[in-house]
Amino acid sequence: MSFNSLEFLIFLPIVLLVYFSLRHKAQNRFLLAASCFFYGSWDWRFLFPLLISTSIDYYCASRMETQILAGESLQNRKPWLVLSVVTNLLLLGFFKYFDFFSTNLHTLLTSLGVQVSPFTLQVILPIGISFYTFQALSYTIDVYRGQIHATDSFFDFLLCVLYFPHLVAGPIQRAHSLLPQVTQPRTVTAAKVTAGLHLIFWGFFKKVFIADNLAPIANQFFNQPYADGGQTLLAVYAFAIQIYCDFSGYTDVARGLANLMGFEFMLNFNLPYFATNPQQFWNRWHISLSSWLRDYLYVPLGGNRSGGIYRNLMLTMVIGGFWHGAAWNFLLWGFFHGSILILHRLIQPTLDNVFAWPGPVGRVLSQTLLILVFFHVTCYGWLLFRATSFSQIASMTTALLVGPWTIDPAVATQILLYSSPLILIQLVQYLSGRLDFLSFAWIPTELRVVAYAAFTYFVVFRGGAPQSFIYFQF
Amino acid sequence: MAKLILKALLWSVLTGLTLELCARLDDFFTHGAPLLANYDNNILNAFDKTGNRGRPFAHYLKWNLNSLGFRNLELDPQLPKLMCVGSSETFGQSETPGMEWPRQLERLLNENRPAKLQIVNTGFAGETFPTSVLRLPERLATVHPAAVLFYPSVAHYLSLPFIPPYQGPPPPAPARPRMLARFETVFKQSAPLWLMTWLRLRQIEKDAPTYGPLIDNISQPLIDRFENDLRQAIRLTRASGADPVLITHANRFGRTVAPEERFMLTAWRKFYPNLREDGFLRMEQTMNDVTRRVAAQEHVLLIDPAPDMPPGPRYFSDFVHFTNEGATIFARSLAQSLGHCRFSGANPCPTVPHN
Repeated sequence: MSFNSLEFLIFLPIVLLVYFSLRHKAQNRFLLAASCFFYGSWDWRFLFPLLISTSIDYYCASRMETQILAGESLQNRKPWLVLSVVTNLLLLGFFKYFDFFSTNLHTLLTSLGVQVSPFTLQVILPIGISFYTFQALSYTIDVYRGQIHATDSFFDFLLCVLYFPHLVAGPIQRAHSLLPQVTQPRTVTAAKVTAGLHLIFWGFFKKVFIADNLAPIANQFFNQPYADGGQTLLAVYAFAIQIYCDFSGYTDVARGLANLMGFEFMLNFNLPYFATNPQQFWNRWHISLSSWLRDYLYVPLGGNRSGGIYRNLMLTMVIGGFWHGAAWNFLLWGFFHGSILILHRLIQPTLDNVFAWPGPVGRVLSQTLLILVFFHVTCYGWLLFRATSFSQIASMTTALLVGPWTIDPAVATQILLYSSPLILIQLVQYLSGRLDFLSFAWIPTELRVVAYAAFTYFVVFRGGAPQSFIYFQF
Repeated sequence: MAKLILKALLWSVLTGLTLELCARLDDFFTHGAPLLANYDNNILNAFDKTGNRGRPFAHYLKWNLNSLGFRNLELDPQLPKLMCVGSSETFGQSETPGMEWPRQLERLLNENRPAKLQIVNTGFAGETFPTSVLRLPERLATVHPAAVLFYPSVAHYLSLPFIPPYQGPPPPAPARPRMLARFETVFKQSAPLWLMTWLRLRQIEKDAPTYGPLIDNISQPLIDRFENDLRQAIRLTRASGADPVLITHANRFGRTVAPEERFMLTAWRKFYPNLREDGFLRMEQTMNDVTRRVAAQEHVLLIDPAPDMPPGPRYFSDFVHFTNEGATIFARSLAQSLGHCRFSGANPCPTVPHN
């Protein structure tokens, strides 16, 4: 059951209706049941790995909490942390990466002349496993570090992980932020509902009108057997906007739904295509993942401490890339971002000098230039991400560099047409510094109703053919 | 409380008006539709004593008609012509413009032909075969085709006894919010199959009594009428100097109905409620047998794509209307049979012996 399905349109009002008729404790139990139903609607077997992982995490966290209360040392808690981390990573590895490693090992052995028969498990990847694994891990790690207290209610912890708005594609909520919202009674204010509805409308608009209409264009170019410079450029433009609107659209809907029930999710995207360098980009793109990687991988690896900073950056980004999927191009994408982060660190002083243009006009021009240049660097990253093979990456890169160049004006116009609402609105958001611009709080209620009705029209009647959310596969 | 209700009412009205305005502006900018007048498929209709037909120069959504009311470019007097006669399957219901089978057939036949020919698609949605036969002399005189390809929509015969005699053009339809039609379409596209089938069955139950008693097979008088219409069409075509070509009718199901496809049989039945679901395939087979027999007896070129058309949703958007891919396969099958014909002079298809 996806957010953009009729089933969800029926599911949600029923959930809200029952939810608001219950008291806090019963609300939690009901949300848990509804979330199980939501997740089980894809395949009820998906619930088993999730239950195994959460049960072990809960048990490990409880044991660590007991040790903390008894004043035991960090060292004593380690076995429980190791058990939790290993269980989660084993589950993730089994479902997501086993076939990848097995196939590649077979290829390697065959190329070395060792004849072995290929062995793959062919198991279905439980939807959202990457998201909930990271979320559950953050809980045990935070308890281990003594940053949060373990909850004494398994069902509350289970709800934290299973809560349907964020379960399958994030944002990856941290226990320190979500757990108190589960355990404490929640208040639903008119402002929260308004903000939630705004996020839902805008999220659906991005997903259904922009992303789903751009998907066939990007797919068409990426499915072509030959490469052309102009078409590759159009393909990556279309995909860059598609993936952003697809993922941030989902996140917005998830955040909006949470708001309707009195929850508050973290911001996951903050105008990422207005970044002027890779560091800024990762502070704005998939913030819940990048901050997770920073706190639980980059910092423990040594972080910014001199000596290992470049190694730590590269490792973090490569693992981050691999988190997206068991394929070489995701590793390459992570490597690409690791490389540009390192390069940026190396040349940042020079860049700052070169682009320190005097006066306000100079500042605007230099910023605009940097945004445009870095947007194209990001777009090249999307080529690596979306390509289906290394040979496609090679042929598209060659075509970008040496041509031939043919641009179909009709396709270019289509991409511009579908992207223009996003560009215009985000331009206003960027220049005004107000992300809540679209909540239309600055216009009378009646006009807001008109604006939302117009959004609804484009979502319902002008949306592209329904596509599943890209990030579901991760 | 009253204030809140009033507010909710005002917001509902505003939402409705905005949606309607968006729909009208969308139609205006996308299709050049009028902002204020009705905009539905009736725009395509003109009326004469034989009923509704294509209105010259009409255009609605993806459908554009020429000066003769055909879904075609204007006639090129220089080119020999093949005329296609049929209903919505020929007119092109679901295909993107240019992908309807007559257009694809034209491209295929002209691919390796030094002397090009023009295909004239006279098919019109909802036009029954008896009506096509009535209009045939007039169309033959206008188009002067070298050959006429008949692709009759046989299910129309089921409704023939219930079509009231023509009593002039219908009064203009009352203004209807365009949003309603849009919501209906979205609902049909997104409602679960079981719900759609349930609704269709309710509709069938409601409509069936007006169509007489339930039947398992198409009646013999209707089969005879179809045979007579075919023979009449052949006579009229030959009298004009053109060659008739008969084509068997293809459907989504093939020889048997797969269990997962039964819902589509119910969807088909909604248009002809008195024939039980299982009767539809028997009807198609019976009528195709009639077509084959008439073609053999009248020494007419028969193209028989029906048994070879692959079934399923990939090739048919519903029970009988082609998808782009379905129309391609269908057109290829026709092109294969017609490829050797010259379509010029008095004997355009030499392999077919004339009476």
